Amino acid sequence: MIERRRRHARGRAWTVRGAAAVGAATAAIAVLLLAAASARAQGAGSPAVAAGAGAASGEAATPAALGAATPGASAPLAVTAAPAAVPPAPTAPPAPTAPIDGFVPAEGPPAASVPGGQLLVWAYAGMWSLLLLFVVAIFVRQESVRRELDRLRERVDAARGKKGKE
Amino acid sequence: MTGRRVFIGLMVVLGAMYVEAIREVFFVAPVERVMGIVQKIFYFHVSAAMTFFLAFVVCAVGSVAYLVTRKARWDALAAASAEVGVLMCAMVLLTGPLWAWPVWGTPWVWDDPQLMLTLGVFLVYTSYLLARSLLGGDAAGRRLAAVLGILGALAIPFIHYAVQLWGGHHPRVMRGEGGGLDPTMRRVFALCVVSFLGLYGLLLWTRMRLFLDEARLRVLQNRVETEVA
Repeated sequence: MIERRRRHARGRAWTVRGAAAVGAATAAIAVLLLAAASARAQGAGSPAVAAGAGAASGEAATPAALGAATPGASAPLAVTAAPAAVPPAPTAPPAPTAPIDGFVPAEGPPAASVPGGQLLVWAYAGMWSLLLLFVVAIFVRQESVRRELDRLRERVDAARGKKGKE
Repeated sequence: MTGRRVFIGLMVVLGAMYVEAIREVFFVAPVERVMGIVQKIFYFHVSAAMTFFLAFVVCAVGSVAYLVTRKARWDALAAASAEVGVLMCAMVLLTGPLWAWPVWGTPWVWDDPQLMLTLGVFLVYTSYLLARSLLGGDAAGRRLAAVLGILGALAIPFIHYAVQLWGGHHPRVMRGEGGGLDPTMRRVFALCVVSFLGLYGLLLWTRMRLFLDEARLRVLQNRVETEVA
């Protein structure tokens, strides 16, 4: 019976290892995507902003649109204005008074945008880290169950051998 | 063996879905007009919130079933669901302030009922896990945890309707009011929700089986202790 349980636990350990491997691979790809997005957001303007704006307006992102996009998020509370030629007066972020009812895509270069590229990357990286920690914790507990079953098996085998000699 | 293959297969499918979801969030979903790129936190933030709603409701259902039947399987379901729910709730509490910071000008608003209720529910289920951990595997500890699991889930509808009931600053895009979502945003959001629900299912499965294995191991340890000694 112990042997059966040991095999059972070993099978589970392999399942968790497989899950951890797939999870790690997915996380690695996710980190790469996040890094690419972050690099583009901090580099020549925010490509996601530009791409999004292009997608929303049905046009391809132009260099002008790229230049006008929000550059990163070094100052989280600052608000950047988009058009380069005539900079409009900076708009303050919406004060936390009225709840927002809907999200509307930006058409063309965003007129005013809240910088948040770094915060976005931090948010996604934090979520993936939490998930990985959870999977690792499960793996560790699974290994602990397996080790304990091995220890029990050795004790039972030793006791049987002792009884056989007697 | 078949179950393991199904599990690994589901993991691969889910991993592919996550990669696609992240790609679509960053490169397909349009940027929001007012909030800009930081609004993209919405896709995983709300998906995680929906998942923890489900997880805590499943925990409450498992707790009720355990109190009625006293079967370990229900207790394992409740505990596993609570663990995954706490994970998802932690994700929500991590990403929410990062989203709010540039938009509201502050990461946290103490007088917002939805935020405070979410924090409260997180603490209730953290207490649930602590109670289980500190009181060990005895029946009294499991019963106490089950009661906490049921009480915590009672707050879930209030979290969802908090803004309508008591006002507050939290967006209410997913409550059928106002402008709602752009079709592309809705599609990307749906993919994220499905990915999170799939993740919940797999984590629940894994964690529940581990709970049951640990319970069987404890029984086995007792038997070996008495019989070998």
